[in-house]
Order: sequence, then structure tokens, then C-alpha cells
Amino acid sequence: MSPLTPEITLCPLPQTDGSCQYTCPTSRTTILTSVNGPLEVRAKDELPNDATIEVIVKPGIGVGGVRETRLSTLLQTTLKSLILTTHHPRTLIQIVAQIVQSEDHTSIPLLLSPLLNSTILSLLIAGIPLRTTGWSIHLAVLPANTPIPAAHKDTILPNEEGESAEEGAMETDEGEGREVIVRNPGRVLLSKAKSSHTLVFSKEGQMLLIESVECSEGVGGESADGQGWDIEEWLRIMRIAKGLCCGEGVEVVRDALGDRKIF
Amino acid sequence: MTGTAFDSIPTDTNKYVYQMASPAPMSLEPHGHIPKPPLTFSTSLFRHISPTLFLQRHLLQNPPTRPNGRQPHQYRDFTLTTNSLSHAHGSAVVRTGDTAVVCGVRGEILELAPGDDPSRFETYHHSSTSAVHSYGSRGSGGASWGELITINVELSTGCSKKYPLGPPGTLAQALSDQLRELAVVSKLVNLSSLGIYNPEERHDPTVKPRGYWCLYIDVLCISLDGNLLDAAWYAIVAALVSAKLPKASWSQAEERIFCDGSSHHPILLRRSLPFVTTFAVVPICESTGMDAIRCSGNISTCIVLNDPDSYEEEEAIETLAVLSTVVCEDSDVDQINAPSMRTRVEKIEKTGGWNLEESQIIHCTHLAAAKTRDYDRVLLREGLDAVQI
Amino acid sequence: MPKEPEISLTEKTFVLEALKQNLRVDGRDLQSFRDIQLTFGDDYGFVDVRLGKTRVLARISAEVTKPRPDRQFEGMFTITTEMGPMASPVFEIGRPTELDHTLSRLLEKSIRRSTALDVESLCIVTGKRVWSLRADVHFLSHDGNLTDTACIAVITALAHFRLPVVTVSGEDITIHSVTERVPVPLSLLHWPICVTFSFFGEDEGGDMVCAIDATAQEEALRMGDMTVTVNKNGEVCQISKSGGVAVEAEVLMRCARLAAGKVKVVDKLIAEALREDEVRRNKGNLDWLKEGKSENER
Repeated sequence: MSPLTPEITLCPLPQTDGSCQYTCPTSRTTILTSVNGPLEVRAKDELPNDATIEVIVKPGIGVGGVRETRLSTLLQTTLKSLILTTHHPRTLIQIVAQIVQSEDHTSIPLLLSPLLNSTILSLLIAGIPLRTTGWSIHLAVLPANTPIPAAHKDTILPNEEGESAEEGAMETDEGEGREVIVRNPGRVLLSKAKSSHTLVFSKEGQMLLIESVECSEGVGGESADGQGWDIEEWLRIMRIAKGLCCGEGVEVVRDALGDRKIF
Repeated sequence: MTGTAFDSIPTDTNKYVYQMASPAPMSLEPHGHIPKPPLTFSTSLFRHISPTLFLQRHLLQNPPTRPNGRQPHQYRDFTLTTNSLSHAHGSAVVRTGDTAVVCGVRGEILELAPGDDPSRFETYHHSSTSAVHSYGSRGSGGASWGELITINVELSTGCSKKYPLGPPGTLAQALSDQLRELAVVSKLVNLSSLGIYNPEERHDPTVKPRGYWCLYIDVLCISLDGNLLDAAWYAIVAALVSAKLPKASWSQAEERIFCDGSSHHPILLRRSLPFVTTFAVVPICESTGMDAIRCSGNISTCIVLNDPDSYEEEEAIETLAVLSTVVCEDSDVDQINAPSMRTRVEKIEKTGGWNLEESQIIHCTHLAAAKTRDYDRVLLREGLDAVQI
Repeated sequence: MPKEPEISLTEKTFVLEALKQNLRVDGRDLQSFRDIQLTFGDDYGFVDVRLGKTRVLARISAEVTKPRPDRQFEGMFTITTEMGPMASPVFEIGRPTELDHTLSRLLEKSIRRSTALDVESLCIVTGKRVWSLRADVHFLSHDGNLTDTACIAVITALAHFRLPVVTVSGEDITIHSVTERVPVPLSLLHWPICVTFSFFGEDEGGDMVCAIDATAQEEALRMGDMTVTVNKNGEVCQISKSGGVAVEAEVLMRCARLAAGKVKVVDKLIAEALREDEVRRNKGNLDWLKEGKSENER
């Protein structure tokens, strides 16, 4: 068991069709998801040829606001392309995700990846027909020479030699070092990051969701001029994420489901 | 519907032929009565009964043309009018095609209360270590800036058939959050320029501000025909560029903040303004039964539509939004895709679907660059120099 | 809209007949709770309570705000409960059921109105700055007796929560982070705990069977219910019996006495769980703990 393997509990809620509790090993974000379906659908939401997918994200603190609506929209659109909705037309597949614990209850980068992974596992347990499975990873690019606590050394991704070497050095003003890419960083590490990338890939390596943002700290205005990244830099990060999702992501799903003969 | 197929490629006529899969040949009609002509529909009917095929048939033409007459990479012309609302401190009206958006910026004064740490107002993505944050109140982390800039989107009644009267729906809520995120990601406004000081202490850089200008940005969509995000963000940027807040200063004698309408409080923005460009991705092979379609030289299973209208948005399963700025040499301003032009991407968001490929994303960033430059040019033509303070 | 599965006649007769003979389907006797499991998270003020298959989370969070103009010396404390489809598909978001209303009312009466939490201790600067505390209760799984579970969850979370230390000097307020100063527990005056009694019986006036901690199946079959909130000193904080079958006054007395006994046990269990968690938290960090203790004792 590697320290980077998420803690997964399947079926913690016996009353639902499928449920999963997922804890990200590094950011300690804990999500509990439940899936019920196919259920009877409300007449106004009924679709003649497809199942209606309803996603509710419940915040850990307070009542749901625009951030939760946004998260549920992101989840819903991704799941719509994963679930074979035509197999259960005129029904409802209801997904509830409860944010149990997070270092920041409103941060999309910290929440989105665990939310997606947990939901996908719940769907598999609930026996909802899926086109394929997917896995999500969150990567952050830290400026060179960022001190990384020893506990998080494992999260640094090996930086393969490539044409991006000069660019990496050019971007950072302080010293000759290279940018560092870490996976699933916690809040403290994320606040030092230059950019954050949440990516979801299917088992076959198709891009399902991209949520990449520039996130360096600053006062804004002119100091922000020239921030961002060139598309080649992004492609490099994207390929790293693809490798991780299709490689160990698939392994994690397989191990979690074990001999359930679903996967 | 089994056993039937739409076999005809639309021609330049406005009729589409709806043929049975194996129509009985006319000459071999056994009983001799007059054979029925193939079932035909008018274009407008086809458009409504089978939108997916209607769109695909258009895109399979050579060159691919969208039902609205545009090329896939072509975006709609847009118009911009600024400062048309007299009560707001800054405003903009943006119209692209049938999407029309009004944005108003209103400033309100926030006096600092004891215990408020001004540093938390002055940074985006604040890495606060203060106890309140670790104690997990909802507004922790990056949300502290939100006390200075508030963005809200409203869809007016009747702006589109799809969104009925009532409390803000999912679209309006998700859009508010998206725009809010764009403001953080792009760090558009220099937050410390919103500080209000005692003019006598202003020369001392260590002195704390006495209050802040809070910006309330309201976006109202009057007419919705797709791609609200681009229009709303453009309106926000234009409204902020045109905004003129009255001069506010702390009066030590009265112990409160006073406003003076005769001069202006500058809102400092970025020099390179970032703009967002949205693409809709329409699949073109699966339901037509063809394996792969050659488009723009590459074998691809989908077509990327720049600036989709609501008909195209309905059919799109995938959406890509790119927030980018363009850094380029002045000499070749008019040349799109010039090698000297560098696109800096600040945000990529792709949702739904699985067809989009790497090469298409690269292509989209080039298209985004072209649109960004156009946006910038129109802003300048509006007589507003973004650089001017 | 999803409905709760109806209980068949055979099942109903079986459960009720068994109850008459002081037997329950899950083998418990009438006056005992299911196993109570308390799990704490990484944060202070977060607890996961399991009572059989019923599962409830509670989280306390705090924020510095302005006090209400009419209550300048008092901090704020709110309890939010919202049932979602996670607990049972019967519950819909944005459409509270009757259970939703009665439950939030009961928690309000049991915890807030009984002044379990001293809100005046949440005041930082009179009229200017106070702590605003909120308890969020999340219902994860519904197998009966949500009321008692939620009450245990909120009380445990309040007892587990630590408020950061605040120092006031003139106009400036400094909130110290966990690493700077050891945060302090809330001032809880007592721990009110709810015990819900369910009454079973076929006809009114006949023999009534009374059981505590009903499962969802038993709740569907009961004729009436009553919630008594007691603290460990045996003081009744609240009694609520809204509708249902009429109960003799004597039964009420018996119930209150029984509740007082049960609450003592639950109280001990919570205290034990809290102590274990503190030991776990400070493992290998005892020096820091001692340092923290001495500072807090000032």
C-alpha cells in the first residue's frame, strides 16, 4: 500500500444502492457519495430517451450556494458522458455527494478530484451501466525552489527531460531551478502553486474534464500581467496526468473493487 | 423510426428529402396506383424535429458551414457600448448576435472594522494561516477577496424560452461562480488600488488603509442566444475599464470617509486584458454511422464550433472555455497567427464528452488569441484606453 | 416521487406481537440503545455518530462577526439540519418534510433553549465583535431515531470543538492560530441529551408497550412518540409529545426516570470517547500538551 493510495470505503451507507467514502491521502479531503437509481423521475425532469442524472453536492459547512451548484454542474456534465443514459430511459439516477472534511470547503481544486473519484466508484458499486470508467487527478505546478515538507516528498512527480526545460527556467525569476509538479497537494502547498490542474481521463485515455487555472497569489492588476502558461507547457502536464489516470488510477479502481467482478 | 435514414446531403435548396430505407421503385408498383412521393420536410421543420442530424448535415458540407451560415471557426460580430447607465459607476452593454448583456459596476464603501486584517483583502488566493481559516468557516481560503468584488448574474424574464420565471436557476448560479472564478484567476483588478486612505498619511507606505471600495458587479442578460459566458465576461471587463469611482478619502477630523465627485478614484486593471472564448464541440460520426470524418486535414470525430449559439449549445456534448491574453509585437498587429504572437493561457475548462483531442485544443487557443485581439481592439475603439488611469 | 416501502401485514403483526412479549427484531430489550459509535475527524468539532445503521455527522465552525444590535453581549449559535436524499430517497432537497421541521425544532429546544452553550462567552468586544458558531448536522443514513442521534452528535461536537484564542489590545483584535496558542474548549454548561420513546399498541386504552431507540421499521409501526431531554444531573430540559396515542401521566414519569438513567450512560460514553480522542491527538506530543495545559490554566 503506497502512501499515495486513497483511503476508500465501499458501501458505508447500507440504505443506498451504492456508496463510497473517499479520502485523498495528501490533501485529507474526505467525500461521501451515494447513488440511488434508477428511480422514478419527477415529470418535469423526465427525458424520453435518457435517464435524468441529478447531482447534489452538499457542503460540509452552511447551506449550498453558487459554489456547490457549480460543482454539481461539473460533476453532472462529466457523468452524463460516462453513464449509458439510454439504458434506463425515463428514470432518475440520483447522486448525492457530501463534503465530509476538507481544508477549504469552497475550493474547487481541493474538492473536484475526490468528488469525481468517489462518485465513479459509487456508480460502479450501484451497478449503473457505464460507457467506461474514469479517474481524476489534481496536479499543481509549484515555482522552482519551493520548500516542500518532507511528508509530501512522495507527491513530487519525476520531471522527465524535455524541451520544456528552458521554459521552466525562464518562467521563474528566483534561481535556476525547475518548476515542480506535485499531485493532490493540500491547501498550504496549493497556495504556493502557480497553477492548478484537475483532469479526468477515461480508462482509454480520453479527456473527460479539464479544469486548469492559474492560481498564483498576488495583489492583482499589473502584477498579474504575463501570468498564465503557454499551451505546450499545459500539454506536458496533461500528458503526465493522462499517464497517471490511465495507469495507477485504473489500478486503484481495480484494487478497490477487488473480487466484486464489476470491473 | 427503424429502417429509415436521412440519406440526402442538404443541397442549396431549402428542401430535405426524408426517404424510406428501401422505397418501392416507382415503375414496379404492383397495383398500379400512383406511388407516394418521398416524404419531404421544409428546412425549418427538419431543424426542429431532428436537430442533431440537421447540424451534422450542415457540418459535413465542404466547406463545413453551420446552420447560422458561419464557418466553424467564425465568431459572431459584437458591439460594445459603455457608460450607458447613469446610476452605475461603470457600465457596458455587449451584444453578440442575439445574445445581449448589460453589466453595471457599483462601488460601495467598506469601512474597516477592528480585527479586520487588511492584508486579507489585498491578495487573490490568499494563503491565510490565521486561526479563523483553520477553523473552517465557509469563507476561508481564496474567498476573502470576494468581500471586495461581488459578481452576480441574472437572466431576465423572457430572455430565452428555456429559462422560466423564478429564482436563479442552475445556469445563472453556475455562471456567477464561473465569472467569480475568472476574476480571481485573471486577477483583473489591483485590489490594493481599491484602498481608501487618509490623504495626509498617504506618503507613508506602512500606513493601513481606512476602508475599501467594494465593487458590486451585476450582469443582466436581456437576450440569450448561446455563449453567455464570453459576453458576460467581456461586459464585466469593459464596465470595469470604463468605471469611474468618486474620490474617497478619510477625514481625520470627522473620523469617517468622505466622497468627492469632482475627481476620480482610479481602479487599476491589468495592462494585458484577459478574455474568455468558448467553443462547443459537436460529435459528427457516431450517429451518422460513419467511422471517421476528415476535417481540416486530421481524422477527427468531432467539430469545434467557435462562439456557439443556443441551438448549437443544445446539441453540443462538450464545451471548452479558454481564458487567455495575447502578448505580441506591435509591428504585426494585423497578422493573425503571426509567429511573434504568444498566447498566454490562464484557464482551460472542458466539460462533458470525450471526443476533443490535443490538436484541437491547440487550434482553439489560436482561435482564442484572434478573438482576444479583436476584443481588445473594440475596447480601444470605444475610446477607452485600458492603460490609461 | 420515491416513497418509503410499506410494511407488510405479516411483518407488522410479527413486530408488534414480539414487542408485546418484550422482544425486538434486532434482539435488543425495550430499554436499550443500539451500539453508539463515535468517530472524530482530523478537525476539532467534527464527529461521526453511528447508532446501528443510522449515521449522522455534525460539524462545528466559528466565524468572527458583528453581534445583533439587541444582543450586544452575546455571540451567536445556530444549528442547521437539512435532510437530503442520501439518508433516504424520501427526503428531497429544498422540500422539507414534517420530520425535518419537528427535528430542527427539537434540537433548538433541547440544546439552544436549554442554554447548553454559554453564548455570552462568545463575545469578544461588546457590541463590535463576537464569535458566530454554527453546528451543521448532516444525516447520512436513516434507520430510525434521527433525533437522539443528532442530539448526541451536536453535543459531542460542541464538547470536542476548540475555539482559537483571541487577544484584544485597544482597537486591535488578534486571532491566534492553533500553532501559536492552544485553542480553548467552549464553555458548555451541561450536556442535554434526547431520549425518544416510541409507544406501540393496537388499540387505545389497551396495554401500551414503550421502547426507546426505535429503528425505521418500528417508527413506521408506532402509535405515538415522546422525546425527553435530560442532562446527566437528571434535570429535564425539555419534553415534547406532539400528537399520537394518549399516554397516562404515570407513564410519563416512568419515562423521564428511565431517560435520566440512560442519559448518564450516554454521557459517560461521550466523555470516554472524547478522552480517548485527546490521547490519540497528543500521542508522541506530550510535552506540547503539558505546555498547552499550563497556558490554558491561567
